[in-house]
Amino acid sequence: MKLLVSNPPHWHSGLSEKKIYRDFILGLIPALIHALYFFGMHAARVIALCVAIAVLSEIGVRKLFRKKVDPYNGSAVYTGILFAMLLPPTSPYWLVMIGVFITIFIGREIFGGVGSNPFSPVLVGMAVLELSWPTYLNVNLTSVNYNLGFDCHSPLTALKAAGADYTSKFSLIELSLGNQVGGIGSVAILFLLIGGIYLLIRKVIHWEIPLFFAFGVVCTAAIFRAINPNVFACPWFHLLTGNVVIGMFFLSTDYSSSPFSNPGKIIFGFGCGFLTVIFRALSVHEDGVIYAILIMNLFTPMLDKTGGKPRALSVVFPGRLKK
Amino acid sequence: MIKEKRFDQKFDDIRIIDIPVPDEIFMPVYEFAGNKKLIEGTGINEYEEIVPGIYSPVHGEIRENSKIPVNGIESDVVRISVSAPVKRKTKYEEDNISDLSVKVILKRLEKCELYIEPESFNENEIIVSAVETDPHCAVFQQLIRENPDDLDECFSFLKKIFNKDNIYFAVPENIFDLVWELQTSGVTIYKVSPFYPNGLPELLINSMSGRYKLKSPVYITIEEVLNALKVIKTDKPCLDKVITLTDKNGTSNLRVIKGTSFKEILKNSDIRKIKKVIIGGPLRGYANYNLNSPVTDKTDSVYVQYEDEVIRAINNQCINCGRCNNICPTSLTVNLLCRYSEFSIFEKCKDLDVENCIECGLCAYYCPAGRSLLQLIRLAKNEIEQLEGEIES
Repeated sequence: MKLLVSNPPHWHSGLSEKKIYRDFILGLIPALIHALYFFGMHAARVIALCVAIAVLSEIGVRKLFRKKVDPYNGSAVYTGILFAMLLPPTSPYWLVMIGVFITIFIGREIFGGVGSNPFSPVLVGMAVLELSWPTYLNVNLTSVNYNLGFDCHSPLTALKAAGADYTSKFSLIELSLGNQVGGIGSVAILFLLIGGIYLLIRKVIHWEIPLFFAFGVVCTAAIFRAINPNVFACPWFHLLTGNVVIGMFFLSTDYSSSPFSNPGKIIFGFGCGFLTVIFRALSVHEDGVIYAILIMNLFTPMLDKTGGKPRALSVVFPGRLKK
Repeated sequence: MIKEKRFDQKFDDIRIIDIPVPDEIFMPVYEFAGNKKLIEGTGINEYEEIVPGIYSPVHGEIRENSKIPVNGIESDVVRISVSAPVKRKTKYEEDNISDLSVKVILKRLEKCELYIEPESFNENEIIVSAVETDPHCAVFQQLIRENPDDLDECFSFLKKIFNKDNIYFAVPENIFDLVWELQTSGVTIYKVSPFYPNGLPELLINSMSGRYKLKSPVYITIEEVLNALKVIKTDKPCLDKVITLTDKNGTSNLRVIKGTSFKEILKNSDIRKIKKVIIGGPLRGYANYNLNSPVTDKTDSVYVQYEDEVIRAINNQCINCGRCNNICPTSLTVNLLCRYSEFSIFEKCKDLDVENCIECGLCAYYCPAGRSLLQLIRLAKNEIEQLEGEIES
C-alpha cells in the first residue's frame, strides 16, 4: 500500500483567493447595475475596457517578470471593475488604458504582485490620472451632455465654490439614492452600502475600517461645522458625497495596504475619515478620499505594530518530565 | 472564539473496544542489545536504571531492530515476536488507596508516565485536564464515562500527595453532569467550551492561570491519572493505551497494548484502500509512511484519509489578508513570520516571538493561499533552537 505524506494541516477550510475575489466582485454588482441603468452603454464601455486591460496587463507583466500567471483568481477583474467605478462615463479610451496599466504595473506588480503592494493599487492609478489629466476627470464637465433628471452639479464643487449654504439645495435622501454626479459607481451610495454589508456578512472585510472611516468623517466634519457653519458643510453631506462610501468598503479595505491588528484598523479607519474632511475643507481638492487613503497606507507598517506583543504562553511544566 | 463545526468535541458514548494481542509488536528502545527473552511487565532496555519506563507488554522475544518513525520522529525500534498467546490477566489484586502511605504511592508512581518531582508537592497547583487536544479525539470523555467510580479515587490519591486546595479539574461542558459531584470534595472544576484549540495544554494553563491566579501549575491528563491509579493499586506497570481511530465513516475508541502497529489496528477495524495515515490530529499531526509504527504512550489518536479527502498543497503567494493573524490564539503576526521563515531570516522570527507558537495549525487551516504556515513556523523554531545550541556550545 502506498501512503501519501505531507505536512500538516490535513484539513483545509476550503477558502481560496478565487472565493475571496468572487465575493468582492459580488459586492460591487449592485453599484454596477445602478451604473448601467444610469449611463447605459457609456458605462459598459468603460467597465469592459478596464477589466480587459487589467487582465491583459496582469498577464503581460507577470510573464515579463517570469512569475506564475493565474488570471482566473479574479484579482485583476476585481481591480478593473473597481477602477471603472471611480471614472466618469465619458472617459476616453486612452485615459482608461493608461490608468489601468499604471494600476496593475506600478500599483501592484512592481512590488511583487497581490499581497505585496504598499498602496491600494486602484488609488495609485487614480492619483496619477487626477494629477495628469484633471479636466477629463472633472465630473461637472463630463456630465454636461447627460440629462439625468437631477441637478448635474457636483455637490463637492458647489461646496468649494459657494460655501455651506448652497449645499442645502441637495437633499440627503436624493444624495444617498445616487442622484448626484461623480464616478460611474462611486455615486451609488445605497447600492455600495448593500455590497459593503454583503462583504461584512461574508467576513471578507472587517467592520472596524468602514465603521471608523465613517466615524472619522462625521466627527471631523462636525468639529468644522461647529467652528464655522457658513463655510463648512454638515457631517452627513460629507458622508454621502464623493468617494467616501466606496472608499469605506472597497478602497481602504484592500488587504495588503491596510493594517490587520485591531487597534491598527481603528486608527487607520479614523485617520482616513479625518484626512478626507481635512482635504475637503482646507485644500484645493474637492474630494480628498484618494489622497487620504494613500497617506494612511503609508502608516500601515507602523500601525501593524500596535497589536502588541504576543501573549506569553511558554509556560513551564515544572512537574512533568516527558520521557 | 472559534465555533467551526469540524472542531466540535462533543462526542456521544463511543464504547472502547479491545483489540486482541497481535503476533508481533514494535517497541522503541534506547539501545539494541541482541536477542533477548522478555517477560510481560519487565523492562525492555538493557540498563534498567538509565532508561526506565519502557516495559514489555507481552511475553516474547526481541528479534531485530530497525529505524521507523515513532510519533513522527525516526527512532530505534525493536520487533518483538509474541510467544504462545498467553491469556492476558486483566484483574490483579488491588490495594485500597487509603491504606497506602504517601511514600509507597510515590514509589509505585515511578512505574508510570506520570512523574512528579518530590520536592515541589506543596507549592504546585495541579491541573487535571479532560479536554481533548485533537479535534476528533474522544478518549478522555469516554474514559470518564466508563470509569465514573475511579474518579473519586483518582482525586483522593492526588489530594494525598498534593496540597488539598490546589487541585483543578478542566472538563468540557458536555460532560460536566458526570463530574459535578467532585466539587463537594474540594476539587475546583473549570468548564471549557468543547471546541478544538481550547484543550491545548498551553492555552488551558494560560486561561486557568489568569482565572485562579496560579503560580506554578502542573498539567496532567485524566488518562495519565487513571493509569497512575491503576499502577498504584496493582503495583504493575500500565501496558495498554486507549486511542481514537477516525475515518470519514465514524470514530471509534480502541484499547490496544503498547507497541501494536498501525497495520494491525487498521486490519482489525476493517479499513482498506487508505491514502493517508495521520498520527495526532488532522491539524497538527504527522502523516506516517510506515504502517509498522507502533502505538506509544504519547499516541492519542489516528486519523485516516481516503483518496477523495486528501487536500493538495497549493502554496500560492501570500495575499496578506490577515486571517492567520486574527485566528492565532497567541496573537502572533503569522504572515510576517512565515515570510521571514521562507527566506531564512530566522533572527527576525525570533524578534516576533516565534517560540510562543503552540502549533495548533489553525493559521494554515484558514489560509486562502494554501500556504503551509505551520511547517514554516516549525522550521523557524527548529533553526532558532539549533542556532542557540551552537552559540551555547
